Amino acid sequence: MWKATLVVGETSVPVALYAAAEDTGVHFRLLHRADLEPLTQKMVDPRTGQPVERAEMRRGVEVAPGRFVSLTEEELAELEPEASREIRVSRFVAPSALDPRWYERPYFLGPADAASEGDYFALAQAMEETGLEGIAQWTMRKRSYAGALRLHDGRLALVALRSPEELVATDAFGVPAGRELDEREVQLAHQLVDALAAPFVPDEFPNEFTERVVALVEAKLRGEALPSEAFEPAPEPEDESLAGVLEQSLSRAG
Amino acid sequence: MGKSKSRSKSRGSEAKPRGGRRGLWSGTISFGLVTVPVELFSVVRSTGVRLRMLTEDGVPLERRYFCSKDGRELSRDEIVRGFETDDGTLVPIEDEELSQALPRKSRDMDLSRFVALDEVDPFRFENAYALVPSGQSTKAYRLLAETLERDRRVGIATFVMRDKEHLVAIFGRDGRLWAETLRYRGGVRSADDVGLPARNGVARPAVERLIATLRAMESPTIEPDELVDERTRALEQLVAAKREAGRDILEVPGAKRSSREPARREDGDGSGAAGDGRDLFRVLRGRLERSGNGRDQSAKNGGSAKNGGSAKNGGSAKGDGEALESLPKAELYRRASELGVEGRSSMKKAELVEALRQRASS
Repeated sequence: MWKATLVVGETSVPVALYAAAEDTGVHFRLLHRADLEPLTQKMVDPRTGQPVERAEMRRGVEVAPGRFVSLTEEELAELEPEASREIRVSRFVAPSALDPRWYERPYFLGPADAASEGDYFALAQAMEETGLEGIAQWTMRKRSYAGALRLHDGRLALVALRSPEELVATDAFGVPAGRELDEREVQLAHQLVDALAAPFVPDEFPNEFTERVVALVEAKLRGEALPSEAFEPAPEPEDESLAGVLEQSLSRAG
Repeated sequence: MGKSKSRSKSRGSEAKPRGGRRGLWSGTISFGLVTVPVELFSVVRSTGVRLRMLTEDGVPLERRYFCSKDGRELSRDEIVRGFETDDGTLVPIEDEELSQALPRKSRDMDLSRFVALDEVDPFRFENAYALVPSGQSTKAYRLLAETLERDRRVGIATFVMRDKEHLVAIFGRDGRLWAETLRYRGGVRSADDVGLPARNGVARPAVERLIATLRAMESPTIEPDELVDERTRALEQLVAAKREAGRDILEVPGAKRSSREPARREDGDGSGAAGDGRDLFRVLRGRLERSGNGRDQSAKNGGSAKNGGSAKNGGSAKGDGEALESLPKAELYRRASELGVEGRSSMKKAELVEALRQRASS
C-alpha cells in the first residue's frame, strides 16, 4: 500500500494505492546439487572468472558492439524523477481513446481514511455518469508512471500504461491481403463462433503448469512419481475446403 | 477496442513486421476444425537503453554461481532447480520432471470458447502480441479476424510459449488478429479482496461539481507525451550526448562478448526483446519449428522459473546465450540431432549449448 493524493482539478482526495495483480507463477531457486543448498550468485569478469566488487563495477549503455558509454551513480541518481505523493490527473477521455495494448499493471485506489470517502465516491459517481476515464501521472518508488484512472468494482482503479516508445507501431504489422471472403464462409464462421460462445469464467482456466509442478512436488515429498498425461492429437478434418471444415466443426459444436 | 479503427486496409500482402524479424512463437490457432497457422510477435519492445554492469575498463560482467559454503564456482551440471514449499523445504526438480509438468496438449491455441468483448476484464491484460499469418493462405486468418471483430467476440485459449503456459484472449481488430495474455484466476484481486469500503451515499453537489470538472478537463485524444517515461528519455539523451562528445567511453578491443551468459532465469513473459536481430536462440528455434517436427516440446523452464515483476526497465533483451543455457539437456540433444551435430551423443550440456550456438551463428 502506498499513500498519495489524487488531484483532479481543484479537488484533492487522499488515497491509498494497492496492487490489483498478483503473481501466480511458479518460482524456483537454484540449488547446489550436492547438498541442495541455495547457491550464491556473483558478477564476475568473464576474462578472469573473478568476482567484481560493487565499488569496482561500472554501469554503462552499449552504443556499438563492445563499446559502452559509462554513467556514474550520481548521473543516474539525477535522472530519477523527483519524489512526490501526488497522482495528478491531466485530462479525461472517452475509454475508446485508450488502447488496451498500453495496459501494463492494475492498481486499486482506496480512500485513505473515512474523511476522504465523500470525495472519493463523488468522483467515482462523476466518472460513472460521464463514462470518462482519467489520464494520470505519478511517481512511485523512484519511477514515474502514466496510467488510466477508471472504475473497477465501483471503486477507483489506476492501470499503469506502457510508454508509447515501448510499443511497436500497429503499422509495423501489415494487414494480410487476399481475395474477398466467401459469404457462405463468413456466415458459417459466425455460426461456429456463436455455437462456441460462453461466458468468461476465469476459474475454468487453472494454471495447469503451476498445478502440475505443485503436484509433482507433493508426489516427490511422498516418494512417488508423477503420472504423465497422454497427448491427444486433434481430429483431422475430412473435407479440406474451408467451408467444408467450418461445416464439420459446426456439426461437432452443435 | 483500440483507437485505430481508421487504419488503411490497403497495405500490401506483406503481413510480417518490417525488418524480417521472427516471431516469439509460431503455431496454430484452431477453432472447431479450422486451423490458422500464425506467428506471434510482441508489440512491447525493450526501449533502446539497457544499463549493463561492467568491469572498470568496460567488459560486461557475467553472473555465475558459487557454492555458498566453500565459494567454489559451480558448473551447470552441479546446479539443480529447487521448489520451496510453504514450510521452507527445498525440493529439487530435474529438467526432465519439469518437462513432464508442462502440458503438451496446449502447444497450439485451441479457441474452445468465444466470449463477449466486454466480458474480458482489462485488469487481466498482461502482455500484448500481434498474430501474423504464417501459412500459404491467409483466408482462414482473415475469416477469424473479421468474425471476431464484427461479432464483438474474443476467443479464449491456453497455449505454451517459452516454457510457460499462458491464458490468452484473441481479438480481431483492423483486419488483424491480436492476443493479450491474461492473468490467471487468483492473479487479479477484487476491490473486496483489497478491503475497499463499499460506496455509500454521495452528496449530489459534490458529484455535480466533479462532473463539471471532468467535462472541463475532457479531451478527445491523449497527448503521447503524457505517457512518455521521462527518465528513459533523459537517459537516452545523456548517453547520446556523451557518445557524441566521446566522453566516458569504455571499450576493450577484442574483449570476448559475453558468450557464457548465466542460467539467469528471467521473466520470459515476452516483454521486451521482441525482435532483437542478435537473438540467435530465437532464430534457431524459428528454424527448428519451421522444420516441422510437430512436437516441439521446446524449452522447459527458463521462463517459468521466475516470471514475476514485469518491471518496466527490467524488460531487458535476453542475452544471446541465456536462453539455450536454460534448456534441459534432452531438448538441446533433440535440437542437435535435428541439426546433425556430430559427436552429440558424448557431449555434456555445456558442449551441446556451444555446438548449437556455433550452428546458429554460422
